This record gives sequence, structure tokens and C-alpha cells, in this order.
Amino acid sequence: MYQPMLFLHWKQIKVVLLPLVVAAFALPLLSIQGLGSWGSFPHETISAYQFTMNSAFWAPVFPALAAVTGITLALSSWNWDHQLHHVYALSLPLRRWQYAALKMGAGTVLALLPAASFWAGAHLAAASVALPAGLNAYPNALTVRFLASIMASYALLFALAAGTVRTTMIVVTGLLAFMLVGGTAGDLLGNHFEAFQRVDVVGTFLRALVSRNGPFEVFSGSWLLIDV
Amino acid sequence: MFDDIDPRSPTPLYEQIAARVRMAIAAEELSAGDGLPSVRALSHTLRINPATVVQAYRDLALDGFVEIRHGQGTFVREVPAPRRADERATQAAELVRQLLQSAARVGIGVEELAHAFRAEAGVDIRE
Amino acid sequence: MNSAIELSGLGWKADRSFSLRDISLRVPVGSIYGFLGPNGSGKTTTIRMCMGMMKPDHGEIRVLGMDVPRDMPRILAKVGYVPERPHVYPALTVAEQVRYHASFFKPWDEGWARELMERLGLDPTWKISRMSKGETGKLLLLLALSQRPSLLVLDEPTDGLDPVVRRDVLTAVLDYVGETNATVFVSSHLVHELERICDWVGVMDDGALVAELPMQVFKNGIKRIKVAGAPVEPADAPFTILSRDQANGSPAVETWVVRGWQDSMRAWFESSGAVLRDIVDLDLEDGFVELLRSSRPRTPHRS
Repeated sequence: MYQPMLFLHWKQIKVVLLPLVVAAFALPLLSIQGLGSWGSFPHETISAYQFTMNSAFWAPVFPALAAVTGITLALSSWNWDHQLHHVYALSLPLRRWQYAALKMGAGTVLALLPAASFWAGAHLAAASVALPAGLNAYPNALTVRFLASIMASYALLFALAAGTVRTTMIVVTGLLAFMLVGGTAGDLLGNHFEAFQRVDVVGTFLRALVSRNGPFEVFSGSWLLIDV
Repeated sequence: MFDDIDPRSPTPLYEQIAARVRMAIAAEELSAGDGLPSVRALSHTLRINPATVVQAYRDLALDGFVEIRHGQGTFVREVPAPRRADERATQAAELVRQLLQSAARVGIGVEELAHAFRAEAGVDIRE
Repeated sequence: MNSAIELSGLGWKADRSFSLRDISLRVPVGSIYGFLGPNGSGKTTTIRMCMGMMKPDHGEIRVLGMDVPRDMPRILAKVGYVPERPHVYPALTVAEQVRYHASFFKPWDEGWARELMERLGLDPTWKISRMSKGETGKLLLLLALSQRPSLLVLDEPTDGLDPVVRRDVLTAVLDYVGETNATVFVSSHLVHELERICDWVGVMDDGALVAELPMQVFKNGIKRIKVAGAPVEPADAPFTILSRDQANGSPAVETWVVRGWQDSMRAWFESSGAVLRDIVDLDLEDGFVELLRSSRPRTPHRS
């Protein structure tokens, strides 16, 4: 049961997964471009400041790639079933949650591929630069964060994709409506009542999502391979 | 042998099959010891429910025309001559009944039938 | 458990134009039950409800003695389902699809699957998206049969298939039924096909179950009879008159289509003063058409 499910997901994602795996490998290496030469150390002329400034440019790309990977995994997992209107899935002798769990598991295994290539790229990048004093490289920690981000976006989109198109549309519309209404309401209220002037509904909501205890905490924070 | 089986006829299929086999035995088309087609083969050929074939064979076995040997198939039994003659008589009566019914449907009377009989079969029918 | 499928008072309203009304039917174990009806009569909807894919508004469904939808996985493990539209993954090959399907069913019969593949002429390396309708239909049946189910639910399994494929499909089903005591619930609007193989018949029309009876009774019970000198309003006739028409060229003679006929009813004609001229047997298709015609509201017809 599990192996064929894994095979099925593999077949659905095969073509798209390869570029993602390559990108995951390349990203850490790209993020250290121009910083010191490969294989020639010690190198003293680049300062810690330059390092962090350079890396900071690449910082948003990491979570973006993780999110894209997670979304791709989720959509490819349910794509074929949607096309067949879930008739096949519903005729199999499993409870729906069991079926979903098997699919989730298959996707998790596949998520290890880009994570593994990222790990390789991160280690290679970390090993190929001479770090000035005071800076350390965190290839393992970054890989863990990368994998966690993939899983977070995978899980969310998986749940959405498992539902009907109708449910997904409802959720997305609801979110958009909330942001629109929340934003406008906040502004209106702020214009009329001084007490509301510093209230920012949407901003607070988004910050809550990525804050310390929020579900998407893993996306925020430091995405630097090399840091103090 | 079973070309005449008609699913559209009101006679149940199992009865048609059994009647055909009985006639074959009566007309000595089938002899004692001959094997009937297997249930699977006959249901294939006629594209009918195997249960129907099973019922036909069972009825034949009950009437003493065949014996079912489990695992081997269904085989024709030795049927005494008077029994066979009875069967032929029954079948002949049925054929005549159908003929008369068809004739009545188009308005052809017994006289005309008798005339046709004379012409076709060279046989005289007395009232 | 003597019913493979038991529906009681099933009701469902789609919208103003279509609803299922009070469907109650019983499929005896080991029988081949033909679920007949024109397109749009509610056959597929009823089947989907039996498979737990749709929820009725009210009514009870029991399949193989178990409750739908509560015991659904246990039921589905024993039901081989061939839906109207193919539900296999187009991007897989036959072999891959078979392996996927096999992994969910413990009593999978690998030998039977291989035999069927050969008999039905399917090549394991074919890609499903490139297969014809007939070939896909055969694959669906192969999957359903190799599960070794106790109940086969076939929704228009031969629709759109050529006669050769239809025959292959039917004989595969018959073979399976001959070996096991499996029940077959097959819906079709191709009446003559079902005529040979069904023990029971359930007729749907416009969301209601119009008739449910043994095949033999259905076939025998509907007759076209020619009646002369019939009373305008035949009271207390022992059969149901489905339709009355004037026979060609003879105003005094009428053609009646009746339901529930038995031979002993000839006597009624003598007592009523009418003369029974002829009785014609109707085959299943004709009987089916007459039954439907009579159960629908009469449109004024030019005679």
C-alpha cells in the first residue's frame, strides 16, 4: 500500500522535482558567490560585514524555494485524484484519513530529496570559504530549517488540496476578504477614533503567523548560512 | 446443438436447455455415456448465467436423463426406449401446438394445414 | 445475510428537476440483478450511494450485511466496482495500475489477473492514456474481478463498447460468478444483453423504482393481447392494463399490453363478454418499453 502510493506520487512529480533538487543544491553555493575564492584560504581581505551584507541579499530566496517546493509536493500529490474526481480514491477500502495519511507520508519521503541536496550544497558552500574571525557557518541548522519550511508549506497546501476546489476557494476568498476588510476597517476606524490609530489588523495577523509561536515561524528569522 | 435457445421466449432458459437435451437423448443424437458440455463452456457459448445451466442439468438429473459426477462433468444415462418414445411424443405435441397457434394467428384453418401437410410431407392427416 | 444490497426508503433531492424518491430494493445473494432504466433515471446516483460516494437525504443502505457509510472500508474490501467513467490514472501503464490496485486488496488473485489480462487482450506495457474505451473498460473489469469480490457493482459496463469486447466482458463476469457465489449488480440500458444472464430485474424511471421482480416473472408477465368486443371500462381485470390501442384496421379489436398475466386469466374474458383473440409474448426490451411508457404521464397521441 505504501510503496505504490510513493511510486504514484513520484510519477506525478518526477519532472518538476528534478529542477527543485538542483535549485536546492545550488542555492547555498550561490549565496556565497563573490565571497572569497574557492579552495584558496586563508583569505583575510573580506570583512565580516561584507559577508553578512552579501548573504543577506540571498536570505529571502531560501524560504521562497522551500515554500515553492512544499507547494509543488502538495499539489502534485492530489493532482491526479482531482482530475478523476476522487472516484478511485473513494472506492479503495481505506478510511479517507488513512488514505490522506499515506499520501502525506509519501510526500514527506520525497521532500527528503531536495533537503538532502540542500544539505550537500550547504556543506560544500561552508567548506569552500575562509571565514573571518567571529563568523560561523551553520549548514546543518540551515538544512533543518529548510526541511521544516518545506514541510510547513507542504502540510498547509496538502490540507487545502485534499479538499474540494470549492473549499479551497472559500478559504482563499475568506483570507483575501479578511485582509481587505481588516485593512480598510482599520484605516476607517483609525481616521475616526484616535484609539484605533495604532491598530493594524492585517499586519498583526500576519505577524502572528510568523512570530515565535505562530505556525509559520520557521519562515521568518535568520536564513543566513554564515552568521555571527 | 443449442442453437435454438431463445432468451426472448417466455419459457425459462433452463427449461429450454433441459428440453433440448431430452430431445437429443430421445432422438439418439446423444447416447448413454456421452458427456454434456461443462457448465462453464455452455454458459460461455450461450452467454447465460452459469446458475441457469446448473439448474438445467440438475433438472435433467432429477428426471433421470443424466448423472452429475462431481469433478468430472455431466453424463448421459441409459434411458429405456419407452421413456424415449414418451419424450418424442411430448416434443411432437409441443411442435404441433405451436404450429396451430401460429396458424390461428394469421387465420389459417386446420383444413388448410392438412392440405399443406399432404403437399409438403406426402402424408395424409385424418381428422 | 441473504441480501447483498438492501435499500430502504432512499430519498435524495438534487434540485427541482430531479430527485430520488423512496427507493427500496433488495439484491439477493448470489443473484445477477439487472438494474434497468433509461439514461437519467437515477441508476448511477443510486449506485454511488451504495458505494458511499454520495449521501442520501434519508433512507437506509446496507451492503453485504454492513451499514453504509459506517462500515465503508470493510464493505469496499469486498466490492468490485466498475464505474461509468474510468477511474484509473491515465499516466500509468497497465502493469503499474494493476500493481497499485493490488496493494490495497489482500485476497488479490495474481494468477486470475494474469489470466484475465491474456484473455481480455491487454498488454501490461500499454499506457492507459493511449488505450481505447474498450480496452480501458476491460482493464477496469480486470481490476474489479482480481480483487475476488463478493459483490460486483457494474455501472453500464458495456456502454460504448463494440460487440466483441462486450462479449469478452460478459463471459469474464459469468466465469467468475460460476466459480464463486458472487452477486452481480449490473446497471444497463442495453436490455437484451441482460436478458440472458439476470435472475432479477429492477426498473428505474425518473428517480423512482417502477418494478422489481424475478426476470422470469417479468418476461412472462407482460403480454400483448388482442381483444375483441372489449368493454370500454374493463372493471376488476385480474391483470394490469398498461396500454390499449386499436388494432390495425379493425375498430372492434383492440391490442392491450398487460402486466401480471397468468394463463388462468383467460377465464376472465369469458365472463366479461370480450373475446381473447391472441396472446403475444414480449421480449424483455418490449416489456421494458411498455412498462416505462405506462408509468409515465400519458401524452395525448394521435392514433
